[in-house]
Amino acid sequence: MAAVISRRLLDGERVGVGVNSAIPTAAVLLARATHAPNLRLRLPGRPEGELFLGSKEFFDMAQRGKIDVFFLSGVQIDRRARINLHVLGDYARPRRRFAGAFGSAVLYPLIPRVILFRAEHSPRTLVESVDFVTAAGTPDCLVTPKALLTFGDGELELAAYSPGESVDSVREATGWPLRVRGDVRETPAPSAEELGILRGSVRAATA
Amino acid sequence: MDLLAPAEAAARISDGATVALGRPPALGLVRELIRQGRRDLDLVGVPTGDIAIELLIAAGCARSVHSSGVDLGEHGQAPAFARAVETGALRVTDSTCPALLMALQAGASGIPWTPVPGLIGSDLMTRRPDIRIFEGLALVPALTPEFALVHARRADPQGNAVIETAYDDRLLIQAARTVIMSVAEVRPGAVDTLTRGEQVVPAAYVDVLTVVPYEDRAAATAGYLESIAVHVR
Repeated sequence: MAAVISRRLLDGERVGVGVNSAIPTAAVLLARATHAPNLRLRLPGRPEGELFLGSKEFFDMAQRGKIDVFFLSGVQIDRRARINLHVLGDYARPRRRFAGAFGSAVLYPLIPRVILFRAEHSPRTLVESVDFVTAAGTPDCLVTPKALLTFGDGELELAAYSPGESVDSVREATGWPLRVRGDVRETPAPSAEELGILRGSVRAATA
Repeated sequence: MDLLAPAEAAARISDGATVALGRPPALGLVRELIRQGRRDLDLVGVPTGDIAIELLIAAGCARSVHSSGVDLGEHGQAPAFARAVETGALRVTDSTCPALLMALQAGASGIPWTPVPGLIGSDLMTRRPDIRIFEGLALVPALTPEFALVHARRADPQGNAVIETAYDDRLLIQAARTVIMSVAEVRPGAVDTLTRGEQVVPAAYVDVLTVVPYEDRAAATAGYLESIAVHVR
């Protein structure tokens, strides 16, 4: 997943990484060590990041259009790429309650390139319709262990499947009848160089 | 500015009060509230809730939480929070970080509400009747919490204090009606020299200052994540 995300980042982009985003953090560091040395990393609300005065300074930058890329996830993500970070079941009396929106309800509609990620690709995580719309927007893509889904014509579509997967296996693991792009292909496996960097400098920097 | 013992500082807060919690959490004061059996607190997590809110919920001190999320950072979900919402024991006002911070900014500036971009399209809008829409923009009411509980690294005897730059406590301190601040130490000249990641809050904002016991000082000065880890373990 880190390699797939890394390859989508462009040199010189201003990339924000929020909390609970270990895979995107690895992807950003990998991109910097390979094709995007001038990528600018913005970490809100963390002492080890930029010397922002509070996370508000980061959000203000985003609101002014000074952040190009941000990463979001969801307990559920649906066909229309809406994310749910709040509840399973009814909001007023949920079966399961999760943490909440964090910055997503403002950032998703505002950030030009949102990359969604979800470490579990299954019918319970990728659903026809989320139980609660924490945030909605037009993402660049969704990256999972099984596939890369891009957004076109109002919904997520299969653009590439991971080595070991197939169009059918990905469709089976998805909670709606997944549309398949005409140019669908297999994702190139992480190269020896990418793996070396992930297991070397990236691991050292994020441990 | 009053310099009080932690128990006296916490006693300023009565049952049913609205208490906003900053970061790193003022855990000495939080434990004092729990020890004193405070009930029906309306908590505000700025901009999200962490171990402080989780402990207050677990101890039965809270009746509601207003925040952009409650979790324990890299330690994952906040179980007492989740359980309390699932059983209907806790009322939640859900927000999103930029909206909550802009609401505090409005409160700090003495204006009744603020426009916030984004938000439209989120179901949060249907769950927050207090947020209106004007010309396609959400209007979020100002926040001026009755109390802010914050922790500073050090302060001088006048109450000028040094806090971290990474979090949003400065805004919370400006917006709150009463600021209760715990500090690791009080000494003359405490704000004269700053290191990387530090900023000064003027004494004009600080109503109550209290020096926390040693174990909290150790946790708080080691850093925010470490202070959570100390309590999660």
